[in-house]
Amino acid sequence: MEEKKEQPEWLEKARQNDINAWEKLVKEYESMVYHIAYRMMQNEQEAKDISQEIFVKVYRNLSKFDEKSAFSTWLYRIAVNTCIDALRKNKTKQTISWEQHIEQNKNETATYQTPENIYLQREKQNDIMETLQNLSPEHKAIILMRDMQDMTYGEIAECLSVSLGTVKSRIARAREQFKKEFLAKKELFAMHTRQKSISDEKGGDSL
Amino acid sequence: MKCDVKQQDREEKISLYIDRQLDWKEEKEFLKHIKQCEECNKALQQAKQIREMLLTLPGEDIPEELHNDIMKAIQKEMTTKISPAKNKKNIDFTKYGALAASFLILAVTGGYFYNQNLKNTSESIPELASMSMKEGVTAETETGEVLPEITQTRSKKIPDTSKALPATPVLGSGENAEKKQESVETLENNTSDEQITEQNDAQIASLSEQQDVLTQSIPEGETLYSDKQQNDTLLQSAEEEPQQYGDDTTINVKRSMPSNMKSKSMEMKLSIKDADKFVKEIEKRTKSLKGEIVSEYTEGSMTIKIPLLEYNNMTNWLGEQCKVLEKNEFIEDLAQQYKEIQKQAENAVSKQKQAEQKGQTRKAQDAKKVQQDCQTALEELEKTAEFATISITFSE
Repeated sequence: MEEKKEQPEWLEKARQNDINAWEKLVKEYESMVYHIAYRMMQNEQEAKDISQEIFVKVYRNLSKFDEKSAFSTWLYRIAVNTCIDALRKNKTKQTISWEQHIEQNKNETATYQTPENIYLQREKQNDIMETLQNLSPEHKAIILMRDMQDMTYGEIAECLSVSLGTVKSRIARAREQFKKEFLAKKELFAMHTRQKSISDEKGGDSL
Repeated sequence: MKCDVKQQDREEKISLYIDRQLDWKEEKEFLKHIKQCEECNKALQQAKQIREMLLTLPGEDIPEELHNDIMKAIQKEMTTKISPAKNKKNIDFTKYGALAASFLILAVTGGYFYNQNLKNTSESIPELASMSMKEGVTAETETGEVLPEITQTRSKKIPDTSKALPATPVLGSGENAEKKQESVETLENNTSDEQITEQNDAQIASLSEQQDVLTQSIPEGETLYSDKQQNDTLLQSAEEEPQQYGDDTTINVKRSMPSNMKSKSMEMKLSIKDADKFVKEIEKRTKSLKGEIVSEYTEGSMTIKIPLLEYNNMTNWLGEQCKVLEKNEFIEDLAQQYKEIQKQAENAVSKQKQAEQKGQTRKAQDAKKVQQDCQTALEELEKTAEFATISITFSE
């Protein structure tokens, strides 16, 4: 039989609806939850809404927490599952095609007034976030855990309640998908830039 | 040479290699292949870059109002959880109470009138009706007085009922544990056909040691750590370590030993003209590689700690910047020490169980304390193995 793990001292009080204990709980984990929510939803408003939803779920289910895992693992699991469910519901919103993206950002890129390194940094972040947006919720979750939050295979296995073998294959699949999307995006942008410079040259000639 | 490794297999091997999840034999084969295959080497470099990019992505600012919004949502939940259900129960009970009371009165009074005054039945009906109405009202008031107690008993059960509603998140034990897996299962279905060789728990930790693949990518740099050395170390470590170590009775958090429990350090003597300027560059690079300065530059020497993954990167860079007069590398095996602590932890677990069975609370607590201490010691050892120490002495 699995043993119970040591839990935060405020847990029992939180179970008894002690508002101070809840203050402590929220304070300790709001940042973790918000980061998960933000990176999964990629939108501040949605991340805020989902964070609230996650804590409400924690409140509703605290009596069911069996203390066999760390509280943070249990909470992490709720957070990831809630985000995956929300993303599944928003399926239509989830993916964007790179052609659409180039069209949308055609003029935007020229308006940056920031120094080059800041611009490049921001561009890189955007690239990553946009690539993530095109992944399935499950792949996104696994990339978040392993490559953004640097969780170990053991921690991921515990969090998702799956075997280490499953974690290994999921990480490999998710990375493969990410790389494919990322390189495709890069390729398309490079093509777009080449076309643009050719058309600019032509325009220059005519003048 | 065209690579005949399937795309999927390649990506999987690369992913496992990056996270140090290959066993020593697989790793050796992989490195051998990488050296010969440009395609796979390129894929490996891309994968490394992507991981680095994702790891260094800056965090988002937490909105100021987030804490209050969450607390408000919880407080709302605390109040609404009981009230609506309670009201509903009250109404239902009152309605049914009144109805039951009416029937009771009807039955009693009806029986009375039937027995006492059979002759006047036709006259008694309106009277009966008005009486039952009156009694009904009284009964309602009476039930109202009794209600708080009953409602209270019921309201205690309300949370459970509400938790059983569909809105319940996919967590918990028993039935809900099945639901909990809902999100996970879909993912599992996608990957269920993948036959992945199950590697032992000794590879849980993603402790990463720099391999010669990285040194290949460093142009013109002085390679301070050769392939042979690396592979010999790996071979040695794998021979020393049993493939399976630790089970459920060992410490729960870190149940198994990382594949490379070695403490690595390097002593370097460098010849440099402007040491002060160079020290600043070293400090900058150490920070960017997520390392730390152990001792600041004083009297011509300094010590830094570098994540193992960046060890070759750093030493090669130092070699590129100036002339290396002397270099000595030390590798200390921590595996034996690690295993001994694990054994102690295991013993403590069985002692705790025995004590618990015998009801010896104090002994059980002591055993638990030993486990905690062991856990801390193991974590420290792991941390030692994750970083390499570089001591640099400057000579003009």
